[in-house]
Amino acid sequence: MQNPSKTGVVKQVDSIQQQLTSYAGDLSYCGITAEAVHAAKLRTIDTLGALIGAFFGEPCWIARNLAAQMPYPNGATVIGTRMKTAPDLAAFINASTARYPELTDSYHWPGSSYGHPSDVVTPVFAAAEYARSSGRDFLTGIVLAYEVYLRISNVFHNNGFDHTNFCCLGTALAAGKLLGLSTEQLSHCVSMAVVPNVTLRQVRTDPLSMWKAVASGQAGRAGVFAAMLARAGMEGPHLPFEGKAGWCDHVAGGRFQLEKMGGSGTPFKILDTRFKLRPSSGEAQSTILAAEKVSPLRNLKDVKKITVELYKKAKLSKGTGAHQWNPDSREAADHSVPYLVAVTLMDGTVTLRSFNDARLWNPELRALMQKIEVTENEEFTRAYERRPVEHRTRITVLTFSGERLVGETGGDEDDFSMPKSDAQIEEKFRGLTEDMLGAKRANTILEKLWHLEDVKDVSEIPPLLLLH
Amino acid sequence: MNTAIQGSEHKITDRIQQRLTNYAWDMNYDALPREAIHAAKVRIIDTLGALIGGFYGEPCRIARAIAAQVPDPDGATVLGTRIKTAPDMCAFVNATTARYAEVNDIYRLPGANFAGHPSDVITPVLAVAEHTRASGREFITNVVLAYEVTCRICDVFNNRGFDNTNFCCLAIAVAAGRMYGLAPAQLSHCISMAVVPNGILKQVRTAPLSMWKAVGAGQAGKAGVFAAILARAGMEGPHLPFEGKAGWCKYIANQDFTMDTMGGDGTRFRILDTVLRHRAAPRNTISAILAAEKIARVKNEHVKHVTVEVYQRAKERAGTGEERWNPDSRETADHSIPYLVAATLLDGGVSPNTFSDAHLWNAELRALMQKVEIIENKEFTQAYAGVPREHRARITLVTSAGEQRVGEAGGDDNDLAEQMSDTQVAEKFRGLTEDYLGPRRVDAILDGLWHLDQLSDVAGIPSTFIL
Repeated sequence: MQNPSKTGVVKQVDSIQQQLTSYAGDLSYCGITAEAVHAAKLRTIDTLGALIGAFFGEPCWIARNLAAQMPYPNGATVIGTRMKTAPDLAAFINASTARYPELTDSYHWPGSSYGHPSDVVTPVFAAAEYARSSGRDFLTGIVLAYEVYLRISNVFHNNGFDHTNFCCLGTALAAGKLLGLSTEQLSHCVSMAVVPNVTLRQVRTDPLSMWKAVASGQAGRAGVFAAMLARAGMEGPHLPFEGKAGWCDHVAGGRFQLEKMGGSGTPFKILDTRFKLRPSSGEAQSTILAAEKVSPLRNLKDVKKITVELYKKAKLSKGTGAHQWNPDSREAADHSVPYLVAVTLMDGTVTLRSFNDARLWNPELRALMQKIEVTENEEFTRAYERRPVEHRTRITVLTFSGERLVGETGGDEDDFSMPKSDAQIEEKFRGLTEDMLGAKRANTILEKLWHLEDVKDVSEIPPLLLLH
Repeated sequence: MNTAIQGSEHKITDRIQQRLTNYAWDMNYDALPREAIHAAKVRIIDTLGALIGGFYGEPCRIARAIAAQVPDPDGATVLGTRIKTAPDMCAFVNATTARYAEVNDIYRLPGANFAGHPSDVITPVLAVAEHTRASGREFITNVVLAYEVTCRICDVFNNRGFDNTNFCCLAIAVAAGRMYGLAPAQLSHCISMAVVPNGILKQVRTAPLSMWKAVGAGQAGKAGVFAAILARAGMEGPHLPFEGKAGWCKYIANQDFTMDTMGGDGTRFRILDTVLRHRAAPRNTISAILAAEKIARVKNEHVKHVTVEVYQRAKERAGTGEERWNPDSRETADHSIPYLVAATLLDGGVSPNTFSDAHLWNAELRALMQKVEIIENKEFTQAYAGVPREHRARITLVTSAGEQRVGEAGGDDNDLAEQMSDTQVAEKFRGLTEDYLGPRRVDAILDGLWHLDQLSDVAGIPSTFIL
């Protein structure tokens, strides 16, 4: 473990690495505001609910099969099962599964690189379980990983690289802290996370594949593995951010300075992420809600034309290009505005079942999709670009019989960017888990998670989530 | 399992991905020219020797400690031990260890922007060969395949921000996928899961160097093998990995390229063009070491001044900047001409021991280093730019008595660009391993590896290396 760098004359730690390391080292449960602690609990509940809801998804069971081949009794649990595997592999599986149903939180800060920061929740949990951390340490780890993820998202500017890169870094710092790394080790951990694990944005660029969800697992695994390497005494590359061939110049799109990080009066960023109530992309939430207001349509044959008015970013990413009218997989469908509108108009809402093969290839639905036109509403675009961000959509259905139905959402208390109440998050959790866990166990789990700060050892949580 | 492919109406596989998939499928031992098979054996011997030479290195020991925590009796062997672990973890440890001593091979197409260490692929390919109980011929075929992919990508790569270990990750994934018997669609996903989410920045080998320089090779090996494991389990990678809007060509390779020309059917395999190293140091320092050997050994107190003339690239890479005269770790020392020349002048040569702490902080060596001056020789620079490339150096030592001694190397049979003979390869292997394995076992190992094509199951190899 003796590090030769101590005697070095050349600078080996750069300022961003230094700042992140000191911040992670200094953050303590006592320094976190009550609302940030509560926000961390909400997001833990929300993410674990998504994981249970997605348990039978294809990449999720494929990933579980790998863990079954690599048991590790002192490692971390593949949530939903009794299997324990290496903590990094547990992170891989659990984060892929939690991400799969498109139900976890989303970040829409103007000018940022966006992202799904809840990707950090299960990898941080895997490290916490492995380290037998307390509930308080785990919550501190979550707030820390969110803070890092989101502050980086705010300064990152390169369309070629994915936001799971932030997840890798945030996870590495939180996992490193939970594993008890020294300052110097933590600094190597940061470097071993960012330098050799760069993920291209192609993971979520059309045409989408099942890897869209697995990208989160890959990033979580890399972050946890970096922490394990650092704990074993491994030394990462020097100057990871600001070196000549470092992360700033070649991945982040240029040199940057970190904003002031949460604590000592500065609000924690975890408060700025938004919950989804429907299983789909964040930019499609308002569309589904608007469609629900005119759904279900009784006579689909009577529909002449459907116009969907959106803000620019939603139109560009979810309603532009012929492929959005012809999705061929779950991943393509849950990111297609025409599909989501059509399925909502037929079924009344969107659930995880809305993307089954039977629905995906339903001829009636396919025919309805072809009647949908997506346009930008400039007023909605402006509303999306200011704070608080508004996610607005208007859907107009014209029928052959001359009827005109209008559904509109956003800009009010139901807006996607409005915080959700504890009751709403509980209801969502129950909806996703009750079928599989039963109402009583769902209650027990919620009770435990609402009081996470009283849990002495988080390794008591996975057995509560056992599905069989 | 690949549902999206069956139902798909738009393009999800790109040309490079398709080409690599087909190339891997079409490759077979019987079509390999004899020289390529021999070149593979030579490089396997060379790399396994390097692994034993680096066995006690710090990152190697650390990596082994991690692997020991995740045993997998059906996996692959951590070479030098009896530990079996998951094949991807095994690749991590073995590739790190083989890279550590800086004695494995080097590749650069004259005129290309990038150089690499294609032998980084050997131990990860062996890990999967062991896992799948492949024959010696299958192992050789996959080494030739992985070299071909690594070197051809190296020829076209154009981004100084990203590292040559990225090529190895891809090449290892292709070879590992082939050994796992992946169908073309799965192999295609395997390729995608290797290149899209595992980019490695060149900061891993940018000064100031850390022990991670060697581990970069392990990380790439681990990522490549894991991609193959995922694909075998049915996982689907991102579509259009190279040519997509946010794909590898645009953001990592920094240019569009095709892979039309690859070895076979009369085209020379790239494995024949990598150069083996005579000494445990980076390429641009070796001629200086060879030159210094010719006038070694000396005592510091008798030396007044040492002038080292080298070609421009060698001066830039290993003889410029204050830190070259004050290395503080193995990784900085073995990339410093002043250090290497001083060590050679004192000890007569360079070995993995040259970088031990005792040497690194030796006062006599430090004092001698301060007398070393490095200058560019324009004639040497021209010889380096020529074909065949020459790596020349001249060392002029002036003693305190005013006597002048000159050592010169390069441009002859011993030039780094010349291929080593089988005898030289075997001798280098002995030099690196005999202390640990004993001469008899070394003979037996060498005999086995020279006849690798007759081996029915490579899983027998690791047990011969237990230290």
